[in-house]
Amino acid sequence: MAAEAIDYAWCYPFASRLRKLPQGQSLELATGSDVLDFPYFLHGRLLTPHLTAQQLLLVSRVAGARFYMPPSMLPAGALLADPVVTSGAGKLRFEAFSQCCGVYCRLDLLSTAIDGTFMRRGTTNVDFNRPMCDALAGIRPTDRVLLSVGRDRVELETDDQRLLERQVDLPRRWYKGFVEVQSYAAAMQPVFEVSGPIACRFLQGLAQQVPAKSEGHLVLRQNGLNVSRRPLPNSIPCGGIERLRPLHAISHHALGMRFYTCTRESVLGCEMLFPESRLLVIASPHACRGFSGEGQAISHLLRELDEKTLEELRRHLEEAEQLSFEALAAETKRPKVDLLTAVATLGSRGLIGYDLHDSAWFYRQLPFRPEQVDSMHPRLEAARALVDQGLVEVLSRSRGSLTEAYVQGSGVKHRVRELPDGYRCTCAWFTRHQGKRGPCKHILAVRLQDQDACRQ
Amino acid sequence: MPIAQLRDAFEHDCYVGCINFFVAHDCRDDGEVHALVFERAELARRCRNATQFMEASGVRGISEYTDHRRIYELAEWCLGRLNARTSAAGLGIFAQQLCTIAKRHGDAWIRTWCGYLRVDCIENWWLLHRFYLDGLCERPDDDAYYLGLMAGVPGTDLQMPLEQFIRQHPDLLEHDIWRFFEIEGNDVYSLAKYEGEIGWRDILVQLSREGIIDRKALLGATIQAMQRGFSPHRTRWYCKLHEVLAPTPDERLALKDDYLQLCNTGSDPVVSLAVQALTTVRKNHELSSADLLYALPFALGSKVKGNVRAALSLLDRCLQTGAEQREELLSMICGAFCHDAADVQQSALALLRRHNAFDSPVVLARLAQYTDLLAPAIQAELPRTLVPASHASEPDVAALVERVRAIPGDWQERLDIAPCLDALASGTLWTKPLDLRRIPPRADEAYADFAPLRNMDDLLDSCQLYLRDPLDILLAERIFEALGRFGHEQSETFRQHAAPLLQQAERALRSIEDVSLLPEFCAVVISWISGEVPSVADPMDTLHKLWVQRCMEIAERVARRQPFVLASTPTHGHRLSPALLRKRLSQGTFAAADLAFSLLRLAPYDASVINQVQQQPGAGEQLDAIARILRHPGMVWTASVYLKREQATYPGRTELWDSWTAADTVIEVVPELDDLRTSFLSSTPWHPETPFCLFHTSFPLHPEIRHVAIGNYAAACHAAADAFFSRRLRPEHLDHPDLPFGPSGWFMLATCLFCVDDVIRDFAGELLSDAIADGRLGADGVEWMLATYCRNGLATCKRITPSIEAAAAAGPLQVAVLRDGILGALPRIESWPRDSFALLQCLHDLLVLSGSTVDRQPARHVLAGIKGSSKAARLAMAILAVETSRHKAVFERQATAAALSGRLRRYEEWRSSDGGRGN
Repeated sequence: MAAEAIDYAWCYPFASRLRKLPQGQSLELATGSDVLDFPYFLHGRLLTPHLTAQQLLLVSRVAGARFYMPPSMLPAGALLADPVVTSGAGKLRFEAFSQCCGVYCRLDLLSTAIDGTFMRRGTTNVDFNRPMCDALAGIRPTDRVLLSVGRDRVELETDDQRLLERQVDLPRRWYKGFVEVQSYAAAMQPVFEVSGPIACRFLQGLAQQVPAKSEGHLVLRQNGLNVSRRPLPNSIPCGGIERLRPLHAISHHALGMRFYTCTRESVLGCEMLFPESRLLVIASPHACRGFSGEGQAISHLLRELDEKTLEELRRHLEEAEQLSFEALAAETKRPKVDLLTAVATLGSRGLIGYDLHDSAWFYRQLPFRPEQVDSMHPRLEAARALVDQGLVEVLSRSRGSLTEAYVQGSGVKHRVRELPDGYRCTCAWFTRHQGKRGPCKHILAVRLQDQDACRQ
Repeated sequence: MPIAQLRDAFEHDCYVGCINFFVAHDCRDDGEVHALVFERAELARRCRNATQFMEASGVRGISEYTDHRRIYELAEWCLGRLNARTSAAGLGIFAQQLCTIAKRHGDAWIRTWCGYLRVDCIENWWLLHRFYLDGLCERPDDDAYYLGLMAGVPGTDLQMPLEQFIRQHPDLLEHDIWRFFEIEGNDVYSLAKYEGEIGWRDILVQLSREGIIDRKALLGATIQAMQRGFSPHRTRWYCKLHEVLAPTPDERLALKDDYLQLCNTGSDPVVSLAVQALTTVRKNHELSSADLLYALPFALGSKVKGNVRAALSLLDRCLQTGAEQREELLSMICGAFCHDAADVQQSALALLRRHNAFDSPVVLARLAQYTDLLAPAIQAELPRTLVPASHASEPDVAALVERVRAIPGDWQERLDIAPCLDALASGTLWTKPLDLRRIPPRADEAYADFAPLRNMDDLLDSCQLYLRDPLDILLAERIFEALGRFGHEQSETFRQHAAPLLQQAERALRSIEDVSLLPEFCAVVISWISGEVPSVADPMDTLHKLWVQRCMEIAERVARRQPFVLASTPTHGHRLSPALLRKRLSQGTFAAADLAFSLLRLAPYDASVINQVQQQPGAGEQLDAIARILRHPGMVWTASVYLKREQATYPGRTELWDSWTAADTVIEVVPELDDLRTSFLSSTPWHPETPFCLFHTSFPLHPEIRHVAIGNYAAACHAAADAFFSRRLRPEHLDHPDLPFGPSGWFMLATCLFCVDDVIRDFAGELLSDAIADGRLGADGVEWMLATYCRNGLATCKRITPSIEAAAAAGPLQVAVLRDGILGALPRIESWPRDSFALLQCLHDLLVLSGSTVDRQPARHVLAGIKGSSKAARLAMAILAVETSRHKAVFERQATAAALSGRLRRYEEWRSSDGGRGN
């Protein structure tokens, strides 16, 4: 079955390029738009041009990478191989999501990496074309490189300044994965940090081939980082860790590497620390498993917040540019449950990202129109339909809460039970994933029914 | 009559006739032809196969193996019907004719048709190409189109040498082949994949030699392809092409900046090429410091030794010529210390020393970041200020000794506590392993690890879970056990609650195609819920016959909905307790498969007891249980124990060697079905409790070897590791009390340690470390293992040493045991493998870590006998020159304390498992 796709079209006023100037070189990144309003984010001089160029190339490589390809599948044309750039909170962030939907990568260039001026805040795509990437690879440590993200005045009349149009069919799962990964990041905790040389040796030893499904446990030992096949004390689960191998290309510049893990799932976060920048990679539990469909935020979306409240919270985040959950709670004086719902909802609309290093949400509006992604959570919709059709049959309640119910499935009634460790359902989907990819539609239907009953 | 020609073509499934007919006749308005074609096509679509079609249509000339619909779809296409499913694959020789026909249908029709063709650009390559040449469509830009050319579709379809085809088509030379350098392909279609079949490299080189394609452009294209970040094995193809083109010194010089840039690609094969090319360039043209500072950092951090060495050589040369930025260059050398090979680190350190780098505070500061990564032998060569703080601090043993003294007397004796404490008091080394035979097993409660299912909900959930993961054999056992206990207690709501499970089991049973454990399990579930035993096809694979037989016995029992006891269900530790088995056996009658399983679960761990069965029936719980099984009328069996002397027969020679599974036992259980005997002894692991069967696997890859063992060694290793990692074997198998280090433990460790797979060898390092830590493995064991394997050349030293190094990193006890193990093995290795330097390097490191010298004369003798200028000889000299360090005494006390600590841990684990009942 062909993957559901959203048609995404945008254009650039010019092709990004590295131009030779009398006083050095100028890296001109073109910002994209679908409404011919091309933002101008920054102009300045790169203080570590060689490193920044290598980092940008790495981001570009991840954006174009397919770490897992089902056997005999033909390589599809690149999806969205252009990173998404966000200017704000004194940082320039380049985000990319791999073609296989299993690896998220973000480069945070701190203000100390650039001697220049942030012109405005915002988020959009930047053109990463092949010639520019080739030129980036040639930047040397001693080169003087100016960076501009966008242009102050875009003139489209001349022949060499034609509008570059791009159009891709973005699979829904790609977009969903991109936004889903933020909810994982928010649930991650740092586990250990290693020095640059240790990180370099570790990455050097990773295999170049990425197995579809490999399980490992990352452990810090006296002789460095190792991957064990068994869970050990203080180890963190990591599937398909070979996907970190591309980081080796810049590891010799790194001051250190910090590892994060998520308690809910074996999702691995890995942050490479540089003096003036940080590079974050978040990898899904297995190479063959993308982030889409993980359904981590779906439970929070059961409650519906009115648009006014959401808009209010969105504005808070937009004004502050970056806010921790606690700061957001303190500023808005809203209950935690409302904030969880708001953050999940805004996240699923691609309006916020999570900065692991600062433990804070940052505002960025992904350059996709939400109406293009009409239904981000089909499971939730299916659950609502089950409730609307009266297909949930309550069997027992305990202290006002629903504990057992039948929900009509295809040809059979599924039994949903609430147990101390969560809900269980007898459907095949739940059996397969055991709740690791969020609740099934039957469980969601029962919870919705319960919620409605409580309200009444 | 023209239509007669078409009928004739249809009658004989003749594509040529069909196409020629439509080329000659424009039948778009011919009602008779329309009727014939569309009626036949419709009929063909309704028939499932050629035989059915022939019966329905009266056509006789079609092969029953062909697709009977295709010729009619082609005819429909000729008449202008657009069908997205119609493929042009294999019709390349008719390209011109099909174009002629297509042109009649107009541009819009062709555009739509091309859209369909582009769904499968590879198969339809030739037609798209023809359409493009005839101006009927634009040049396809899909990657797949170029992959079609890459895969040689035109050559296959047109039955013409590909090179000739390309020469005849300038458009391919001008455009298409250059796209090869931009498209990576995949596992099925890529230049690397088709190199053997087509030989694109030779074709391109030949065309370049003849001047048909531009050599300079070709060299540039290979470089661009190398920059694209393709996967390493596909990138290698471009690297090889670049080298086969043999750039001249001038060309290399012109490409210098590209090579410098390639060094930063992060791909080892590309970096190898670039560094080698720069080495060539340097011969005629000095490289500047700035060049090297830009290009070499990644090469120095590469995993490939050659890259690091070449980079060091370039730096050396540059430093010799009095380069600028000297300190930066020297600091950069430290990057080579990321490599884990001591010889590489040695080279880097020598280079630093040669250029007086230790005078520079900048370099020293940089070097300080890497000291933890250096091999111990290299650390010893560092300037004194940089030597990492010694780990050899006096162990705090007071608290440990106090806890050890609290161990009851009988346990103190079993654990050899007294000599260990004496050694600790006198500051000497004590690494003797435990005599596991003297130590009682952990007395976990029955079912402690087995975790029996508690209630009907658990049972239903578990059944559903097993349907998703049929390799979880233990879960199946828990289900079978629970079915026997309370499966019959079915409430009023049972049928409704079980309905989703029944639906899933029925679906699963219908959809299973492969050999699997699932059909019989589904049969159990269906029988249990519906009360009727479904029929299950006989498995083709004899491996599963015993499982099938047992499942069907259970299915029949659950269908009766009566409680029952299953003799063979495992209990704690995945094993069957003899006492419990005896109890179960007294509770009823059992079928042969159930009894066979119970014997298998019980027997592998106690060979001596089984040997005595017939002489001393009833002499103990285990013996009694076995005797009861044997006396059962349904059981015909033989049991024998092999102390194996393996024999491998190669063409022209036969080798005998002492079996490294000398302590292993092989039980042949032959219940009624005689062919099971073969199954057990020739199968890959089919059952969690019979890992030794692995050793008797067959030889698909080495049919010339008549006996099992060496030839299938790697496969056996993989199978063993696979068994372990997929949870069929559990860690407790490594620690059975009745055999030293347990047969399966030896097996697992040895097979993993010498396996070809890096990941599995890493795991072996962990096993080795754990086994030493808790007294299961001593120096003797390590010595025997190394001597056996190295002597037979079963494993290379390079392969073994990383695991040993990983194990040694765990602590002083491991260092001491492994050091003594290697020293003991040295005289036993008769012919030294070529890569013995790896083992010697490891020994050198262990000696430095432990601060001791080679104090065994046989080992000294062996080392002194290694002459010459080889790396091994240099290492042997270095090892003999190691002097006793001042921290030796502290190290030995640490090792002894670690051994004592392991013993204490063993006792405490036993005590906690015993639940305070005492023993």
